Amino acid sequence: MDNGASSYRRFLDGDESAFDEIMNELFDKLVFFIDRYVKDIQSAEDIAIDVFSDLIVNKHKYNFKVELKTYLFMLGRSRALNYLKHRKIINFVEINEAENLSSEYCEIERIVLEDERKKIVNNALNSLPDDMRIVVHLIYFEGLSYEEAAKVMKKNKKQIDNLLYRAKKELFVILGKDGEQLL
Amino acid sequence: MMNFEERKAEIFRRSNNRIIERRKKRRRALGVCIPLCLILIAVSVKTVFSIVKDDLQKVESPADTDESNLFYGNAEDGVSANENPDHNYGYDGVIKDNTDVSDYDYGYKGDQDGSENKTDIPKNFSFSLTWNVNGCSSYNCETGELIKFKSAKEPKDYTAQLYLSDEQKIKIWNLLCDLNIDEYPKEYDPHGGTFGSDPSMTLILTVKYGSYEKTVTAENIALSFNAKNTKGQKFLDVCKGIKDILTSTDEWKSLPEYEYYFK
Repeated sequence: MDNGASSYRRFLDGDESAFDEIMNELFDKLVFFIDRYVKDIQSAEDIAIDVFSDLIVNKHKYNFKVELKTYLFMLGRSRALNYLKHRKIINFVEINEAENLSSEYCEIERIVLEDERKKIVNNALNSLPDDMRIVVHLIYFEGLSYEEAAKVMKKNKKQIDNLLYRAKKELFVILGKDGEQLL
Repeated sequence: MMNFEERKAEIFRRSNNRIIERRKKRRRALGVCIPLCLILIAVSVKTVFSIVKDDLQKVESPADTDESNLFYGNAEDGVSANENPDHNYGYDGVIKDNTDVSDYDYGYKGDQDGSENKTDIPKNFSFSLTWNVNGCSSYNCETGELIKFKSAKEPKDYTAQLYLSDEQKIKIWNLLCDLNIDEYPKEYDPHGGTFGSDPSMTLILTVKYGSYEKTVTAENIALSFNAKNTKGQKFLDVCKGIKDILTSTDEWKSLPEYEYYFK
């Protein structure tokens, strides 16, 4: 699997079903990634929908030089940061609604993090700073290379390396002895 | 959270809206840009056209070039040189060697057409001027008779034949053009009768060309070329200008001194 690039090429050639394949493969992962920034699963889903509509509106912006997954994550990060910048109204939600949202997050988490080991790391990630959390997410959960993670985060490889190193140290402290086996 | 189909429908709905919105923006931008471009093009074309037109006019009438090298119509042989830098003369780019300028209507209009065709003096243009105390000096362009002192014992000694050059004729014609002689009555006092002198001065100016003839007589006026009114000053200036041309000639200088002077 080339993370959707070939499917997108087929979609550009007129194969509508190829878009379904891309959505099946990448939509939940994108929502989960965006949620790392916005910390609101519904907003993350909304942003992910916008990112996918970008693929349809600006069909020829993607140049196939990076993986489609990386490209989508780059768009997702950009839109998430934009969302955070312009978010002026804080929505207060009812407790029961919040419980529903929490269950939705668990559903996404269940889909994306099939591995129990990853779920433990994911819980520990919440106590890390944003950049470290996202680097760990991209490298360990999404399996991106350092170069791809650097492109998504608009940093260089060295910075990614440093962030990951510091994130690991933090996680070892949080997870204790189990951490060494998990990471 | 939406299910797969809902998400897909939402993605395509938003995509369509964005595409429509983008088309609207493009149309709006074109709606502004196209008229703006047309206006700019029209202004540019107009500017270029006017520049080209000006250049063509300059090529056709090089008025700013050395005028002394240009040839204009002449009274005698149809050719004359314009050497008067004080006047802006018309130039039609044609050497009128064989043109009988007397055939044209040279209706004298003074300042009304002062800047036009002043060098095209009529072929049969002539003038006469009588000046000095009691009108003792005179010149008649038709006969060429120049008299310095009519009251002399031997008037013949004070008489010479003077044939003005083309250049001098043009200068005098230009002076007369600047003076709208039609505005002056036949009997005229440039000082307005406000003051006199003893002895008095007489100025008689006659202009002829074609069928036109006008004489202005200013007899027994104050002996002064300074008038207090503009119209009178103009008349005096023209008479003095013609007098100066005549008295600067060798013919005038060759005549003997006055027999006597008035005090």
